[in-house]
Amino acid sequence: MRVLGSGNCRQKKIQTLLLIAVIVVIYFLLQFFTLSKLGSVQGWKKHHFQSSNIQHMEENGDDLDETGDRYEDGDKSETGDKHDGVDELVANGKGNVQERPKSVPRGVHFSDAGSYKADARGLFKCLESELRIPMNQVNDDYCDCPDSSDEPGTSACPHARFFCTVQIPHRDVQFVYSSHVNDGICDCCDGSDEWQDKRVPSNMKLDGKTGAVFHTPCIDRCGDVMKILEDEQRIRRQGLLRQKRYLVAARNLTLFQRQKYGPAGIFYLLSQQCYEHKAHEYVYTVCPFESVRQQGTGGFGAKTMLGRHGEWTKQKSGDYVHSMRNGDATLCPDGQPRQTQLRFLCGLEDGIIDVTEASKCRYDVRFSSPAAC
Amino acid sequence: MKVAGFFLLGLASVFSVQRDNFRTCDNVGFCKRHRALEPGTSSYAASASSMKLNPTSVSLDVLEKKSDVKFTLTIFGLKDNTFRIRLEEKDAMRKRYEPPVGDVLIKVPEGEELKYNGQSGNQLTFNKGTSRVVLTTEPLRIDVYSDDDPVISINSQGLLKFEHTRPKPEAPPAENQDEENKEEAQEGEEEQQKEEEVKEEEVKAEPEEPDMWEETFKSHTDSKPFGPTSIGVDISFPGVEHVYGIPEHADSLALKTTKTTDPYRLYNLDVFEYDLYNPMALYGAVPLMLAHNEKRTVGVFWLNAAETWVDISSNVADKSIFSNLADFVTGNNEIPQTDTHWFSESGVIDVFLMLGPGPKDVFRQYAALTGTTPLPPLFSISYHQCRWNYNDQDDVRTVDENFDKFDIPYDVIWLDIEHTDGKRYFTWDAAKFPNSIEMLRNISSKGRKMVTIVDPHLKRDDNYKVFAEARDKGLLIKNKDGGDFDGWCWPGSSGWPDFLEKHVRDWWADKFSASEYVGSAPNLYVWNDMNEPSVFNAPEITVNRDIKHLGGWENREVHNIYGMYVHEATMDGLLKRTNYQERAFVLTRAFFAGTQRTAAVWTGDNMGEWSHLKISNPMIMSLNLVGITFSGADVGGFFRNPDNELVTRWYQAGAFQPFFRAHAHLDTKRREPYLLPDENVKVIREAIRARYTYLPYWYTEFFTSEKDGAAVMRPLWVEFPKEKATFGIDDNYMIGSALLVRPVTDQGATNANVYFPGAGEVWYDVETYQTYKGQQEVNVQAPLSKIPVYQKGGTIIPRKMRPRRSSTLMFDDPFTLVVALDPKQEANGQLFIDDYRTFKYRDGAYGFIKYSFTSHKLHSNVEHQGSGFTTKEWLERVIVVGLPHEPRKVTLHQSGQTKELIFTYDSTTHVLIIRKPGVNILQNWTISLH
Repeated sequence: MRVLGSGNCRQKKIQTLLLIAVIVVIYFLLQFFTLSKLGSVQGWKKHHFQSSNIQHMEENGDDLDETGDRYEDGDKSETGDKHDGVDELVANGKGNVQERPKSVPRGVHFSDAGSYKADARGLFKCLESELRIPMNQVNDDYCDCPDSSDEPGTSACPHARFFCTVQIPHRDVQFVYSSHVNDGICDCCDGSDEWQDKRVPSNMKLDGKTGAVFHTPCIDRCGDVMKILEDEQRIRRQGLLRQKRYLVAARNLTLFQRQKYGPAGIFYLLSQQCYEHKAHEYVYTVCPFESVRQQGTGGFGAKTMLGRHGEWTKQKSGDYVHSMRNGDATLCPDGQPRQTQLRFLCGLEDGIIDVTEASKCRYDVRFSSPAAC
Repeated sequence: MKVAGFFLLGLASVFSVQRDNFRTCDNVGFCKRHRALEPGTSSYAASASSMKLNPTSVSLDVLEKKSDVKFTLTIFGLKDNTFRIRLEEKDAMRKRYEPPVGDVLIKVPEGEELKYNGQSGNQLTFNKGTSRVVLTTEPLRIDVYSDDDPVISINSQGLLKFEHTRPKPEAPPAENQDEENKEEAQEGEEEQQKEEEVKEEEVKAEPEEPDMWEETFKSHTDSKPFGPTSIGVDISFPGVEHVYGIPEHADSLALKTTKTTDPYRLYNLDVFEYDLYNPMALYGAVPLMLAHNEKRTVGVFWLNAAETWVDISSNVADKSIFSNLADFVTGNNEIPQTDTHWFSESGVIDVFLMLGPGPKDVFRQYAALTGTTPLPPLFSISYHQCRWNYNDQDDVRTVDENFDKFDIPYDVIWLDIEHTDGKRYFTWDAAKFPNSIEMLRNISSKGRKMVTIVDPHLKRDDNYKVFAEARDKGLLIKNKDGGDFDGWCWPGSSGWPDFLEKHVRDWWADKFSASEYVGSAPNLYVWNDMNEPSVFNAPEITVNRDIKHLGGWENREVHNIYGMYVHEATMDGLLKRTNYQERAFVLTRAFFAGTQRTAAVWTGDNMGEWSHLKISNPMIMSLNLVGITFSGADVGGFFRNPDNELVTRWYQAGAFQPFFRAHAHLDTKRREPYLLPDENVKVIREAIRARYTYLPYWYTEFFTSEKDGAAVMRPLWVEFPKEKATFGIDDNYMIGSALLVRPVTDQGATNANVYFPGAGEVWYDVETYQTYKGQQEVNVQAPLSKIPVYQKGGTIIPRKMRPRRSSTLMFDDPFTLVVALDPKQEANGQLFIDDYRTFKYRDGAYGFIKYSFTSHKLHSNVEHQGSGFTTKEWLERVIVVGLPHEPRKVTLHQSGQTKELIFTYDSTTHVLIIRKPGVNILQNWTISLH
């Protein structure tokens, strides 16, 4: 897509013509590629589901403690998630979890079980070095391998990963960093990372209440996780069903026009309307692909332009980010104009989830739409 | 955090400090008057016949012969090689301010016998231990000898000047003179020998100078109702080339001659985008100077809370080319000498002379006067994540989650002024922080804390309870006419509580209780900024000198101490919350002598530039030399957008400085470590983790420093006082006695010059165990991933190698002992452990373990275990570095049992790693290498 962007370049004469010709060819190829992908919705989706929020828990295996209903945040259900093969889970309707067989060392994912077999001399070979250690030094709470591979089940190595005993199928593999193992906080939904049953210092619990995480003793919360996943999948499935409208709306656009609105112009429909959002002392008016403005609540003050037009800065793996630039520069650091990133996340309705100003004159709008599913 | 100038000058001053906002010596009357004095014969004379001898002190009358004003001179002998010398006006018209005992001095210093040794000519001699004081009566001069060496001379240049209190002349230098004055000022001040009619006063008036009774700076006029009250005297250090201390200045560690600059200025000021390498005043002041040579270290503490300037000259540094040549030709090997000249706007002359003889002796001697830093709770010496501002609860949650997602430890997240309801401290912006307690509980559940900002300016708003209460109870400082002082700060029009008063401090402390500070929680701690105090619309961005405190003092008399009272009251409030059971944490920007007892200090609003990274080391070392051991600089730099390399290098430096906090201005781009490119994230993660692995060492150092007042971050000369090559080194330093650190502070650098001190010492790279011999400079490889840190042979350092989300979660993790052998194959170390958060250690609930390695045996000797104090912490690993031969066998001996231990030995690096001794850390045992 970046190649297309360079179509703006104003080079002269033949060079330009040649370039345009090349670009047109590439463009058609790309479009063809995209369309063929779209033909298989599932495949397309597989590569595009992502959410800034839940990715965290996907990647390090933190369970719902941190991302579920513990924090006051009603947006979770609207945000996407990257689930390979999510449809199979829905399709077969099974919520069965997979458990590490007893024969596999603690903290090892069952698919890696083969690497944790003793060699002929009864030794374990560190995964990424030639060092061999006695098999009984695996998971003995002492780090022998420089690559951290001999302690998958303890906190002894600084760079190890603990794969939770219970794995929820069709979801990214759940692991926790070794720094989270046996620290008194239940990270795996089954609590398997807390097998030493340590107790955190009493002052970590304010007023005796639980905070963002659960402390030991852990209880099995995988059922809750499954339920949340199912909710997310339901939303995603429904979102996909609603995408037709968006594709139809873009049907009459030229290929060039479609390109501006994401794959197959799926976000085009959103450009036909403006959306309002009230946050703290401001009202934001977001007209996707055109402009983002801010005004004091109750119409106070002038409207400030936070960004206009813009371009896609991310369009992969479900991460759709449209960056809008050239806003008003008044009172901005170094006189740099305001910029807004419009991030589209999978949701059932079109609308703004929230607007934040992470640093001065840099705004982030999270936008929910079935088009992003 | 941020600066006054933000609104006033922010737009105008893009590049640096607006110097003309701040007075130079040329527009400070008393500075000019003292600086204009020529060395020569002092007009002050002591009267031997008036001598009154007491067991530990002696006092005499002193006469200023031109004015016939009488003074009292008192010399005190104090415990531990210390003297105190006071000179005060005998019949002052108005009492002069002295900080109450208990506020700066922790108590009346303990006296020690001072023996009168008789008079010879005009010299009186007093002995104390191996030191003696020789008082020359006329011209007045005091020489202090230690073991027969002259170490400190007072008034040897005759610069003593004590402006006595006097009535205001009836016909004051009139307005027309004011105008004249301005013109004169431009031409030079020399012609001040104005004749003055002698009034009917009994004393002969000194020549009146135009700025004695009124001074104008920019549009501000200082009414000076009490006239000139300044004091000053010269203090010389024979045999000394290097003097240090008197922070806060953005300057080199070794102080420079001020011959061609202003004197070093001590006047707590909020300086926007401060310049480097100059003597301008900054946020805090500690009037303590250390003078050091190969033989001895001495300290001079000038106990005075008023604006103070210090001139420094040196017969070495100031030597002209001609005289150097002359020395060369004549073979004259002149003894070096540093002369200093101290003068303050008011107060009395009250000087403490600490005679060392070693640097650590001076630390202890100063600590006996002003106290030490109490052991900080463990979380506070861990990593702090700050920004102006984390916008709301969601923002806090996201940052908190991201640290976990990227597996980077942090302990404390900070909120700057925007978290409040319209800059009304002790409140929350209800839209952004609707449920702060839930937020606090969430971070607490991971063992983390929050720090919120509470500044001393109170928004003038009748509906703001804290302000209304302060006003109604009459707790606010007054303007010169007696009304509440009204100045401009973040909230707009504001008032300032008078923290000098105990009852005001008590009132303030109560504001931190859970019922008063609604929405706070026990894991919330506090940061006092702008406590110089910063006042945007007042002269030099601080309160006018003639404003009145409740006790009748003018700000001019107490200026430098105000900020300390603010953080002291804040700390008291936090401690009160738990009835003084749990230790607390307060960070302050303004400071004074004694600040170390109740707050950590940071170097204020620095810039995201390499030069500011570089200066952070000498600035923090200077603070450490004057007892403010718990200090640091904003990692990344407050202003500007540092590039990724600079941020990364700054994290590496900060990880090895005592107070470790990243901070950034509102106008900067986000730079939380996980936002950087992968390569940088990786390096920063390792740097922060390195900090956490060394926490047991830091914690033990802070514990011992509470007892002996020693700097935690030490200039090399503190550890190697006889090694002259170290005296001027700014960029290498020691943490405690075992770790040598040389942060990389140059852009693009891939190597660094490290000075390894100590003849016969051996140093080990803490990562590679490569060895370096002492007393040489080596250019070492230092790619971006490398922090040049070295452990001294002969030391044992306890570490915890397992990373966790926060230091709290390391509660019962095991230790690793790193035994670095000296050339004699010996090493020693120690470890302090407790509950890491309460005051119970003061009742003995702690463990203190000494380690020693000798004759191939490592001994663990539990020196203290409080009754009932236990721990689950254990020993997982012993690393012996510098062991030339592989042992055949390693055994652990404990309570009669012997167990063989598994080990590995690397014959190229000479490192032995002993696997899993497995003993509880609070036990006696021996590991033998066979």
